[in-house]
Amino acid sequence: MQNNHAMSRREMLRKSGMGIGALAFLDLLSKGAQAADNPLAPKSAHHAPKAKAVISLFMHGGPSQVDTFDPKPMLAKYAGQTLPASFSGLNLEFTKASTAKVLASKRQFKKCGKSGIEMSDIFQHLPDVADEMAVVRSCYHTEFNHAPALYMAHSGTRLMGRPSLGSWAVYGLGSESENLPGYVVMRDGPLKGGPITYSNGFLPAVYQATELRSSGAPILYLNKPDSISGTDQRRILDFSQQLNREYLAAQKEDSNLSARIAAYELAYRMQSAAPEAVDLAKEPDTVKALYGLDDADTRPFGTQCLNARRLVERGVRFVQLYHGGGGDGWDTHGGNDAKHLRNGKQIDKPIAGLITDLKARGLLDSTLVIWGGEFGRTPTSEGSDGRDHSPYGYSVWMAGGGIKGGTVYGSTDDFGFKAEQNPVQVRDLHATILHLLGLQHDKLTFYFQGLQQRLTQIDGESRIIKEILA
Amino acid sequence: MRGLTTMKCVLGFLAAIAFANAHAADADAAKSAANSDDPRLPPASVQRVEFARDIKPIFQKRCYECHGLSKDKGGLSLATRARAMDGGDNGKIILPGKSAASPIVHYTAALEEENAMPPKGERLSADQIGLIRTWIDQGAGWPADADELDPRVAKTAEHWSFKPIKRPAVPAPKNSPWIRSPVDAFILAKLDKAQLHPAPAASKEALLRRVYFDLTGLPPPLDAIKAFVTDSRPEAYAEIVDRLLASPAYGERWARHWLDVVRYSDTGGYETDIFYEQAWRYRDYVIRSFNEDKPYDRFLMEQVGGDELWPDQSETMQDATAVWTIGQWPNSLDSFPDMLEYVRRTDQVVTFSEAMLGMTVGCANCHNHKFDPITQRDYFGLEAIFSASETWNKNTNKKAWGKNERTAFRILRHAPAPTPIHLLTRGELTKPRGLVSPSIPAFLPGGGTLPDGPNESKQRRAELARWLVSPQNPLTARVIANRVWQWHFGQALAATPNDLGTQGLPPSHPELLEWLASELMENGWSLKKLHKLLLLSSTYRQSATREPNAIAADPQDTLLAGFPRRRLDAEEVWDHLHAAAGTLDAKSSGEPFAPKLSAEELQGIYDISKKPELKWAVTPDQNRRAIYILNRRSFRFPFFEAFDPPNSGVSCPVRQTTTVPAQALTLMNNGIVAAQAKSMAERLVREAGPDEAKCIRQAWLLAYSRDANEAELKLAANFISASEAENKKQGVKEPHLAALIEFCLGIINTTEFIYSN
Repeated sequence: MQNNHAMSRREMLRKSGMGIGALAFLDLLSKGAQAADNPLAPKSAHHAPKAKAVISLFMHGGPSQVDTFDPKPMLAKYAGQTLPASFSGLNLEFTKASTAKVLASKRQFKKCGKSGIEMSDIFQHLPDVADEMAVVRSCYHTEFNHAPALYMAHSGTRLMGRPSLGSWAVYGLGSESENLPGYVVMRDGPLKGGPITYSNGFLPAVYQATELRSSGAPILYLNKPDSISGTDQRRILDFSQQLNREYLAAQKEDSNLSARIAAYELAYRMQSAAPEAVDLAKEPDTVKALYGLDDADTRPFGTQCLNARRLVERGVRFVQLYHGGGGDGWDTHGGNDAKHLRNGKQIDKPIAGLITDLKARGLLDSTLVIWGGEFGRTPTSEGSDGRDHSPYGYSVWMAGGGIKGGTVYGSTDDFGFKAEQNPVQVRDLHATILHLLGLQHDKLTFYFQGLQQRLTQIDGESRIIKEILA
Repeated sequence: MRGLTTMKCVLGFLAAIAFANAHAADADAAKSAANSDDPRLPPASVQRVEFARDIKPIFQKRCYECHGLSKDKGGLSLATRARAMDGGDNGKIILPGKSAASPIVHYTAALEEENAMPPKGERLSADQIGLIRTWIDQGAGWPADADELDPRVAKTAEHWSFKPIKRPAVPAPKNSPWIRSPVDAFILAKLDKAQLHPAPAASKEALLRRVYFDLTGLPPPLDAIKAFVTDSRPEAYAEIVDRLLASPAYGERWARHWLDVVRYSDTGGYETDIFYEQAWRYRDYVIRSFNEDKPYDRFLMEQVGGDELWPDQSETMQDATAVWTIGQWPNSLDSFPDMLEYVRRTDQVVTFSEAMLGMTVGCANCHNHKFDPITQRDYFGLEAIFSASETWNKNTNKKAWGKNERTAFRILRHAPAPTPIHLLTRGELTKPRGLVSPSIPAFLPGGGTLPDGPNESKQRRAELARWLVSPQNPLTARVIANRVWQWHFGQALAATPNDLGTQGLPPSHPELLEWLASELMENGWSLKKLHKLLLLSSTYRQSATREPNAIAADPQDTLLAGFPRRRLDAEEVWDHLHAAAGTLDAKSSGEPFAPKLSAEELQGIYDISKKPELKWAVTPDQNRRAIYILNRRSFRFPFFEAFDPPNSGVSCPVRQTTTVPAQALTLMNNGIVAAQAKSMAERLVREAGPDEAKCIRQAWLLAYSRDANEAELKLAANFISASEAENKKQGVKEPHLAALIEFCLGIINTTEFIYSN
C-alpha cells in the first residue's frame, strides 16, 4: 500500500513538477503532523496588522546623522572648536568628547516633498519619496562600538546570542511562503558582529534567518556539490523519502518524523523557488532601471532591493538587507564626506526605486521599510576629516505599512550629538515595528533563563511611537 | 584609591563624619569622632539593653515603613542584623561600641535638619535615642531570632528544591517482573496511576545503537553488533555498558553536555572574536574528568575554587578554573576596564548560578527577583566572590587585554586587591549604592556572608566551592541528577534544568529525583555509577514505539511508556557521518581543528584585515570528532547551523530539536557530506566486494546498526541499478561507483540515519 502510494506520488511529481510538491506538503501536514505542529504556519496576530512584511535596510558601520537627515547649521558656526563641557561625559571609541573639534558638514540640506522633510544632497532620488517617510531624529542607545551596537540594534541588548527582530517576527507570525524561508538576509560582505548578529538566539532554529546570495547559489548548500556526478537529485530524494515513510509507518506516529519528510519537500522546492525568486531575467528593463541596475554604482544594492520586493511578493515575512558589509562601509573614521557621497550614491536610487515600485504595485501599504544603522556618528572630527561612532543621538526612518509619511519626530541638541526632544530607545523602535506587524511587544514571549523573555526586554519600559503612525 | 566610586556618589549627600566611618582607610577620623561626644546628643541610657525588648519595637514603629523588609530606602534596611550592619548607600550607620560616632544616632538626634530621621512625625524621644546609644555601646547585639522574616523566604523553605534531600521509600507496584531497579519502580508507579503500560523491550539492535550513541556519541562498530546480537547471556548488555563507560569516547560525548551548560567556546565573540588558548585545555580537562569518573563534587570544587583549594596542583587547577575565562569578551570595552570587568563578572555569576547552582539569578542584577527570594544584594554578593580574582594573560604576563589581539592565553588568578563591589541601582555601573560583602544567597541553607573581609581575597571561591557541595546545600545533587537523567532520556525530570527555583517547572517524578540525588551522594558522587543505574533499568531498555493510547494520553512521553526517540545532536551527526564512511580520526585532545570551508561558507567571517582565513585556518586534521572542531562565538561552524547547535553566548540547558529545510540542504548538498558519501561507497566496495546485496546489507549496518529486510534490499537494489543505468546513459564516469555514492547519499539523508530509537 505504502509502496503504491509512493510510486504514484513519484510519478505525479515527475509529471507535474513543482505544484504537486506543495500539494504533498499540505497533504502531509493535514494527515501526518497536525497543522499546529508546523511552527512556520501563519499565525494570527495580536491585533489587526498594518504591515504584513518588513524590509529592513541596514547601513552597516553607522551613517552620520548630521550628513544625512539631521541638519545642524550650528556645526559650521563652531567648526574647529571644542564642544561645551556638557558633552564631555560621553564615552567614545577613538576620540574624546572633551577635546574633539566640531566638524561641519559639507552637505547642503533641502526641504523635500510636500512635507518638507530635510535631507542632504547625498540623496538625489530619495526626495521623490520623502512624503512616504517618517524620520526619527532622536534614536539613541549606549553602545559605541560596532558589534555590541549591532546586537543592540537587532536584538535589543549589547550581548551576543539573543534573537533578532526578524526571528521574533517569524516566531510571532509564521511564514506566508510555502517555498521560501520566512526570514531572509542579504548582505554585501561580512558583518562586524558576525552572522550571529541576525541570529535566532534561543528561539528554535525554524525561526533562523536564511542568507540569500545574489550571485552563485542563492542559498548555502542549495546546489548539488560537483563531487556528486549523478544527475537526478529527485531520484535520490525519492529513495530517501520512501525509506522515511516506511520508517514513519514502522515507528507509528511521530510529528517530528513527518515534519522531517515535509522539510525535505520544502528544501527541494526551495532549490527551484530560491533561484527563481532572485532571477531578475524576467524583470522589465524599466523596473531594473528604476532600481539603478543599469549603473555599476547602484547595481549591487539595487539588486538587493529588487530581490527584496520579489521576496515580499512571494510571501517572505522579513527581509534584512545590509549595505556596507566587509569594508569600511559607513564606518567613516576618515574621509567622512567622500564616503557618505559614495555610499549615498550607492543606496539612493535603489531605495527610492524600491519605495516607488512597492507603491506602484500596491505593496507599500502592507510592507514596512526601515532604514538605519547600528548608531550614528559624532558631530566632531576624528583626524582631520573623519567622524567617530556615536550612539547618543542618530536618525532612523521608516516608510510604508502603517507609517505616517512626511513626518519628522524627535530631535537632537544643536550639535546633533545627543537625542534631546522625544528620545527613542532601540526597544521603542522594536515595540513600534512589532506593533505595526500586529504584535504586542510585551505579549510576544519565549521562556528562557527562567523568564518569559521578549525582544523589548523586561527591565525597562518600551513605548510605541504613536506619533509616526498613520 | 579604593572606594573612589563610592566617594563620588556619596559626597553630595553625606555628613563628613558618616563618610569617614564608612571607610576603613579613614579609621583615624572615625576614632576621634567616636571619642568626642557631641554635646547635642542625648546621653546613653544606663540600663542593660536587650535588642528584642528595647530596640526592635522602636525600629518597627518608626523605621520599618521605609527601611524594613519590603522597602529599603537609601539602600538601608533594619529588618535583619546583616542588612542593618551593612548600612545603606551612604555607608554604615551602626558602629558597634561607638554610639557617638554612629550615624543612626546623629540622624535620630536630628543633628542636621536635612538628615533628620524619621523624616515625618515626631522625633524619637531622648530616652529612645539613649536606648539606641547604649545598645550600640554594648556591642549592638542582635540575636538571630530577632531578624524580621521575609515571607518569601519562609515560602521558599517550602519549595521542593530548597528542602533537605530525603531519600524516599521505593514504591512497590504490582508488575514486579518488569522491575529491574528502583528506577523502574518509581516509573511504573506513575504509569500505573495513569493506567498506562511500559512498552515492550527494544530489539537488541536498537538497544545497542541507543546505548552507543548515548554513552559515546558514536554508532556501534559492526563487530559489536554481530557479537551482541548473537550473545544470549543475560549479562551481555551490562558488559557493553561497562565497556562503553570505560572507553575514551565516553568522555568525548559527555563532556559536550557539560560544555553546553558552561557556554563553552574557543573564542570571545564580538569583532575581534579573540581565540582563547586556554579554552581547549579546559575542554580536555572536562573530557578527562568524565573519563576518570572524577566525583562530581570534586569536579565542581576544582572549577569553582581549585586554585585556592589545591594550590599544589596548579596546572590542573588552572585548566579547571579556566571555565571563568572563556565567556564573552566585548573587545570594545577594553578602553573601559571597569565596564569590561563588570561584564566579565556578570558572565561568571550568571554562568555559575545557572550551570552549577541550578538557579537563574541574572534578573537580580538589575532588581530584586520578582518571584524567587533572591535580592540584588544576593546577586552582588556573588559578584563580590568573583571580584577577588582577575583574568590574566599568560602570554604577556599582564592583565588580560583583548584589543585587536587575535589570540590570548587567559588564566584566572588572584587580584592583588579585590575589586570593591557595590550594589548598583538598576544594575548600572554608574549608580553604586554602597559596598556589598562577598556572600552566598542568604535564603539558601548555609548561605550568608562569607567570613572573608572585604580586603581578604584568598578563599572566596574556595568557600563558595565548599558550600556548593556541602550537605547543607540541597540543590547541587538534585541539579546534576536531573541533568544526567535529561542527557539519557532527552527530557529532564524537572524540565527547566538551569532553574530549579520557584519559577522552574516542578519535577514529573519528584520522588525519583530525590532518590537519584541521594543515591548519587551515597555513591560518592560517581556519575558512572549513576549512568549504570539508569542504563540497566527496564525503563531505559524499552522500545521507542509507544501504544496509541499512550501517545494520546501523554504526548510528550513524560511518563515514559516507551523510550523517547531522539534526533542526534549536530556533533553526533558529524561523528556518525564519518564513522559510517570509515574516515573518523580517533585522535583525542589538543587544539581544535578547522575543517575546510567553501568560499561561500567563509563569507560570513568578519576579520578586520579582510582575511577570514586568519580566523578559520584550515588544519591538517579534517576528520576528527566534532567536539574538537573550532567553536567560534561569532561564527558557528556552518555544517552545525541547521542542527540546533548550542548558543554559546550563555549557558544552554537544553538543545532544541527543530526540523528545518536547511537540514535537508546541508545533508544533500554540503561538500563534506558528499565527500563522506563517496568514502562510504568506496568502503562498501572494499569491504563487501562486488556482491551488491552484501553491499546493501553492510550499508544498513553502518547507517542504522541493523540488518536490511527483504523489501529494503529490493528497494535499494532497484535504486542502485536504476541510477547506474541513468549514469551510463548520461556518460558518467564509473557509473556503478557513482550509483553507490548516490545510494550512500540517499541513506545519509534518511530520518533513521540521524535518529536514535
